[in-house]
Amino acid sequence: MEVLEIGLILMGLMFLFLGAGLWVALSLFAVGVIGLEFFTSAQTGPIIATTAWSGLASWSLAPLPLFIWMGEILFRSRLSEDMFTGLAPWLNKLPGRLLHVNILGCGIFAAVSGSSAATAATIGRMSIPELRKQGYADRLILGTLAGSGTLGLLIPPSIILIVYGVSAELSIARLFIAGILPGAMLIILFMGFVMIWATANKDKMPPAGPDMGFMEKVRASGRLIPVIVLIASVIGSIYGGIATPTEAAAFGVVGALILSAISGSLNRASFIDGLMGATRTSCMIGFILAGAAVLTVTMGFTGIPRELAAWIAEMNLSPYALLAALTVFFIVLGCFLDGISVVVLTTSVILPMVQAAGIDLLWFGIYVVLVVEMSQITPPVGFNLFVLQGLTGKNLFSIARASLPFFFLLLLAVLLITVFPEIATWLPQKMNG
Amino acid sequence: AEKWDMATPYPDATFHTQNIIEFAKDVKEATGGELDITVHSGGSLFKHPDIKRSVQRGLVPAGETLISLLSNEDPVYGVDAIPFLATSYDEAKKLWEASRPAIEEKLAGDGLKVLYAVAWPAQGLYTAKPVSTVDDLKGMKFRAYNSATSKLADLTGMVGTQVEVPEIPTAFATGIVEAMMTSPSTGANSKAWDFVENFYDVQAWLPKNMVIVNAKAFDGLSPEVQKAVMDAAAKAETRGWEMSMAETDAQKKVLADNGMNVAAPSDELKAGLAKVGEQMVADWQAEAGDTGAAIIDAFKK
Amino acid sequence: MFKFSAGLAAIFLVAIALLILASSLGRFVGIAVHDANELAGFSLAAGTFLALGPALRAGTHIRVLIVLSHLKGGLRRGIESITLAAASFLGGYFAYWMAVLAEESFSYGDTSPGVLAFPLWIPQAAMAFGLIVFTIAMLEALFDVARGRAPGFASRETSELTE
Ligand code: NA
Ligand code: NA
Repeated sequence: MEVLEIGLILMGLMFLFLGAGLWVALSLFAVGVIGLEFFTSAQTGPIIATTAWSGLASWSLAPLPLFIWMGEILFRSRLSEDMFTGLAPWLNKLPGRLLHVNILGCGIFAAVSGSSAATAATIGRMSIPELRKQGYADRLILGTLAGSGTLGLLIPPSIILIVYGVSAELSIARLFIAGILPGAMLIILFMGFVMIWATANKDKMPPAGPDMGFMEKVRASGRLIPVIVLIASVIGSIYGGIATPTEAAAFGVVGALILSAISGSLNRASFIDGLMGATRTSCMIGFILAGAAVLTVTMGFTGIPRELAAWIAEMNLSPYALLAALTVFFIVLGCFLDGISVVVLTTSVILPMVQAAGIDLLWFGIYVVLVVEMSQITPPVGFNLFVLQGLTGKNLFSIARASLPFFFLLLLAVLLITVFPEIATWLPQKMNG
Repeated sequence: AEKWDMATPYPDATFHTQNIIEFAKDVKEATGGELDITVHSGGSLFKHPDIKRSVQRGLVPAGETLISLLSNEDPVYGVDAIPFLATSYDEAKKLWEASRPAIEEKLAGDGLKVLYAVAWPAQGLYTAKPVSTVDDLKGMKFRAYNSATSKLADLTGMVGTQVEVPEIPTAFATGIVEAMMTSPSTGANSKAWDFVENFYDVQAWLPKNMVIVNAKAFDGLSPEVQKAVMDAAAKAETRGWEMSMAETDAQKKVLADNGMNVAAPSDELKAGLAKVGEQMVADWQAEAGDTGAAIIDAFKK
Repeated sequence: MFKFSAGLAAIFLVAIALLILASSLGRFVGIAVHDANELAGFSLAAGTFLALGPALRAGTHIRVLIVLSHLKGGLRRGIESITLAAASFLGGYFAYWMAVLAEESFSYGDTSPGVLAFPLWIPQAAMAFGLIVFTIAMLEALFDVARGRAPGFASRETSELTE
């Protein structure tokens, strides 16, 4: 199997480049260039330029830098501190306490953002400094963020569900609705894990705050009002018919600017600081996206993912065995390619075989999202890992280690929706009736 | 044996892509594997706006593109999406025959060769509220996605607004868009009944996709293979138009079966839209000059 | 030059926000704002690449230092030099082909498919310029390392070495 050898060579090169300290975006780019140059007859230079151009000049990416900017503005305002002060008394009794803010914050933010990186970046920008200050273990801070950031893909709106819905010709609205219960289930799984971990590792948790009476709690929650207003206005701009989900990000930026102006933390210097910070972070992520696009087009020309998928198709597996094989396939490819690229490159081969095996395509969409979510947190190519490395300067593999439990929880979620497919299909069916 | 990559913009389930896959199979069979075309569907190799240039630059030898997507390059491509000029399969076919020489000439100048073109089902009007005259359209937020649809919005007093395909369902649900023009197939595939109530079969125009090849790559093939490709293309053109017609009927039925109000436009609406169409044909002709006049003459003959 | 490039990139980020707001509010009051989505995409592409060089100098671009951090002295400097040389080459290669793309778009007169028919070479040339700035920043770092100095971004990416 010749493509397998090419795949292994490219994989080896990827590790070599990354290990030698070549920047992540350039490593992806270099592997793509080498793949095109040596393993295809394609014209490398013009192809990579066209690919980088059309990969980035896309309306669908526009919310990403805006959400990053929103996070930068909020980070410089008192808002994130207020949010934690307001939530702390309520979470005091819950094992894991403020770590749940990461999970719930990502869950709520996921209802606005369709991307996993934007979710992790925006929430992380606000929560990491606060949680560190309070003495929570870095491993859990990073793990919960990396894991819950992926909720951006499952809880509607979702970029990957749109990509899948277009290729499978399914109703995007139905797919979005199908994502709601599995999203809630993931939140429960993540929170459950944090509670168990916190109970088992009491010594690694910071001391609990003082207990407050109910009225005191309510008073402390007053500080939550600005956050609630901001979230409500962004979500409201979508459901009120003012903005499309893409446009909501721009309203988020305006809302964040207004809030920080009201709280008195907005001035010329902080505005420029926030803007430049957002520009650099968006650039870092955008450059990696361009590198990933180059690697993806190389995969398209070499035909590696397609042939691997075709190879699975030839095995004529039973539905469960097929799902197991596909899960392994997606996890392995997801380590090296961005999850959405894997879907784009393989739907032509995978959808017919899934259909032939009698698997419901709507359900399979949710399954695909879950495996793509895993790809966001597996090294060496995982966008949430990149975002968190950008935010904290910690190394990629230690962030990946912190995210490992959440990878397994995602795997558990795949198992759960396989055993109980209704988790994904019940709500959309209700909609039919 | 020669291996070709082919870049196409639409997903596998689309009948155009199905037809292309069939075409690739025919070529492979007819040439005894001499030419093996791998179809990269769904924009997985190049995005739709880049496909024509990529074939022109020789990055891929073959590709598919919507003809009217190129209308900013030259007005001649815009003839494919003038509302209410050619409003049936027969007329669309006639328009293709009338415009093919001009389009071929334009493409030849870019080192491209057109193999065949296939029409989409006719564009119908989807509206949230019932519509019986052009006046009813006034002030509606209309999804405009190119120059022609923007102009259509202006001429009918609608407000053109840009909403990308995947966001259409939410946009209708929240009132960001109240009307759009697209084919019954796109409507059925996106389960339009989830978010919009009325479908008027106004048959505004039948946009076409064309399959193009890089002329140099094509000339590099042996005469026998070239002939096999052209034969398969002719077959694909016939098959594609039949698929398109079957698709129209089937998908209109799907819309109706799912409770949408599928109706023919009222006479007033039809007359009003036809008037708008005349204006747009005149404007296009002014833009396209002699070539445009020649195409319209050949079409009206 | 780095300041200029970074400033332009920031302006493009603001442009994305303004474009999207304009189209959203324009629709609300009944004015059609054409092609805002396309222009926002172009701004994103241009802004991302213009910020490449400044972001490199600020230590924002991420890489895996797990191997390098365990190496010392000459060996580390050697590998670091090779990596920087390779990175400079890749940057230059990328810049060259991006410039070719911009030039071809210019000579073909390629425009966006929308109403405005915006010339594609403008954002593409911005991308090529950004890559040139990036390559210069990379060469600057290579020069530093070759002369035995730490490159400008080193101080900002060390936090992982201390953990
Ligand atoms: Na989401
Ligand atoms: Na990964």
